[in-house]
Amino acid sequence: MLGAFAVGKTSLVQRYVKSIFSEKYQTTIGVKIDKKTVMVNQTEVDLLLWDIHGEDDFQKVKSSYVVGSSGYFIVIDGTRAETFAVGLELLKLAQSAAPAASCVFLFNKADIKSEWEITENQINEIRTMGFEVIETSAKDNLSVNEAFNHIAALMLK
Amino acid sequence: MLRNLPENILKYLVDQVPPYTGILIVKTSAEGVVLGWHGDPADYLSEALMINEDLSDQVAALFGMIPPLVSPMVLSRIEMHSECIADIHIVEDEELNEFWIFFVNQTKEVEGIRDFLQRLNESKLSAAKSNSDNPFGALHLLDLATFKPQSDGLFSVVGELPHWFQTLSSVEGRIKGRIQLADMFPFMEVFLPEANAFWDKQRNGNFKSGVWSENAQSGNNLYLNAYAINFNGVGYLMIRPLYQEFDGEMEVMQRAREQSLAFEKLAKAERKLKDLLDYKDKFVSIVSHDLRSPVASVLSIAQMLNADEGFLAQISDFNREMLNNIQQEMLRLLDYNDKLYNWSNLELGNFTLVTSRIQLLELVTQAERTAQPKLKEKHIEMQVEVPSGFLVEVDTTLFAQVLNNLVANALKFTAEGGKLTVSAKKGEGFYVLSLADSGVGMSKEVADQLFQGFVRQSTLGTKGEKGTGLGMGIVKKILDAHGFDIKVDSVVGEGTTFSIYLPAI
Ligand SMILES: Nc1nc2c(ncn2[C@@H]2O[C@H](COP(=O)(O)OP(=O)(O)OP(=O)(O)O)[C@@H](O)[C@H]2O)c(=O)[nH]1
Ligand SMILES: [Mg+2]
Repeated sequence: MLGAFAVGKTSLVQRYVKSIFSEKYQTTIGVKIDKKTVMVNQTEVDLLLWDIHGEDDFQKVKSSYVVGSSGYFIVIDGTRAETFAVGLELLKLAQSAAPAASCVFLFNKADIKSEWEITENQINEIRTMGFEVIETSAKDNLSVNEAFNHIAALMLK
Repeated sequence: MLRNLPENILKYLVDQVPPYTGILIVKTSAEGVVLGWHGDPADYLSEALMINEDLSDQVAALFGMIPPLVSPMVLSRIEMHSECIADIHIVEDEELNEFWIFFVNQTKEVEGIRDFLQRLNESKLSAAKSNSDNPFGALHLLDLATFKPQSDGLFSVVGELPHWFQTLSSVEGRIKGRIQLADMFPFMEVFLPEANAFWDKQRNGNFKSGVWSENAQSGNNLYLNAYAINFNGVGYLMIRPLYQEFDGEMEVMQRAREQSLAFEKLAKAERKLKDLLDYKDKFVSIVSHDLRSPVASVLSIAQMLNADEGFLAQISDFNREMLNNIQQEMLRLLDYNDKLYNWSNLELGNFTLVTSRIQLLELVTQAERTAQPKLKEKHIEMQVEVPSGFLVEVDTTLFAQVLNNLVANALKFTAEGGKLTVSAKKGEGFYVLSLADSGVGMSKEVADQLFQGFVRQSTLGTKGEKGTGLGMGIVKKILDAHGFDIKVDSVVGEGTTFSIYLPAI
């Protein structure tokens, strides 16, 4: 899970692994790893989900956290314009650290689209770069399972 | 005071004293008499510190220590009072033959050791078995889990494992013989390659991992750090939980991020508000622009009918009065509409100043001319005391609006037979143009809100004149654009004076 702080990385993982959501923001320090076993095309797959702290001036994401990954999400908060640029920065870092890994962009907080600052143009910009984009909500459980199942399938290819 | 420290003392402070906050620094004479201090003496001393007092009166440990045998001298872990233990550094300023005493609070650190000593003693009492393979002795009592890497990539436990380690959900019941650390802690997948590289170098020292967290049995997260260590040619791996000292850091980070979020929210709200305001001004600008011509044509029809003697002769007195009312009200509506248009465009910044040099007197005379009908109607005397030769640089069209608005406002609130004085004085590099009326005046609350654009309710004039509530907003906008100040002084029942400050040319 890569993205600026407070975009909802932890919330997405918690929703997926434990089916829970909390309104309270508790920033992630360092790395938290969760496990989840899923079935992809009749194959049992163990997913190790690395919930990495948000990127900002206080904590920089280490590329070594990404090197061994088979896939990563770049998470962007639809309601915060600032998180778009951070997402692209992290994409650069991840692409050089793990060139073979699959990447999917998540635009999170789709439950409050009226407050979105990220525009359709920006989302299309990502699509034009050749990435898949999924709009998610950890809060309302929109497309969360789909997102994880999808990246799992991509990683197995 | 820190800036006033002699250079050698400052150097000592920076080099030798850990970066604590809450240090107390006391300066004494060669005899130990207090000359001054920085910091809060109450943190360290039970009684108030006083100039010219002998410092050892308060700090028994310093008795006979000033001057010290050697400088600098450090007295470690001195109990200042029941809740405070401090290191005391005595440093000499050789040039001035003065002494600088630093008090550094060590209470927390000592508490930490106390805890350790307590546990050490307890474990001795319970006769824990010693492990000859463990050069680190009782490190587990310091909460370190210690391992030794084996050639097959597995790890053996060194010494005992601390309690916290055994209660991690990923560890519970899985420690038998050698262990596969990366299985237990997926985080190790990242750290072990780096650790291996470090062990290969065989140089004494340690290499620290990033922070990661594991679930503890209590359901809480436990934050951990791993260290790769080379000790006398042997590699070790230690894992340490980050408790107290980390809480502070976390707290800071959490708060910093919450603050950034709040700031982002505020900036977002501001952007939205700004858009909304712009939209409002655009809306007003468009509507008032489009309203102007229908209003103007109704007005001119009314004026035409009002001037048609033949027509007027045919209608009743009542209808003639109605017609006259229509004309007056349309005139007012047009004026209001124009002001609204001007105001919204000023607000939008849809204008550029075109300035030229002009006599202040000329501007005032022009305003006087514009006000003539009203002056006559209310029998108000307008006295102009503006010397010729006061040259200013203004946008004449816009500035004329300022004067017209101010004069109209004064006339509105001055009773019949009153007086309006417009005067100008020269100050140092500026002129003050004052408009003083003998009108009804205004309260301080009204005066304070005068220049804020829309006034919710415009006050009726002395003859019931209705206003737009926009006049003063326009005045302020135009003056702001020029960079001129305006002040208002008013006494209820006596009158109001507006003063405009213009740079002298
Ligand atoms: N409305 C809404 N809020 C969400 C959603 N996902 C997360 N949040 C809220 O956003 C805040 C941040 O969520 P986190 O999951 O802690 O974000 P993070 O990316 O892990 O943050 P860091 O660990 O600091 O980098 C929390 O207050 C969540 O409740 C969502 O889909 N919709
Ligand atoms: Mg998080």
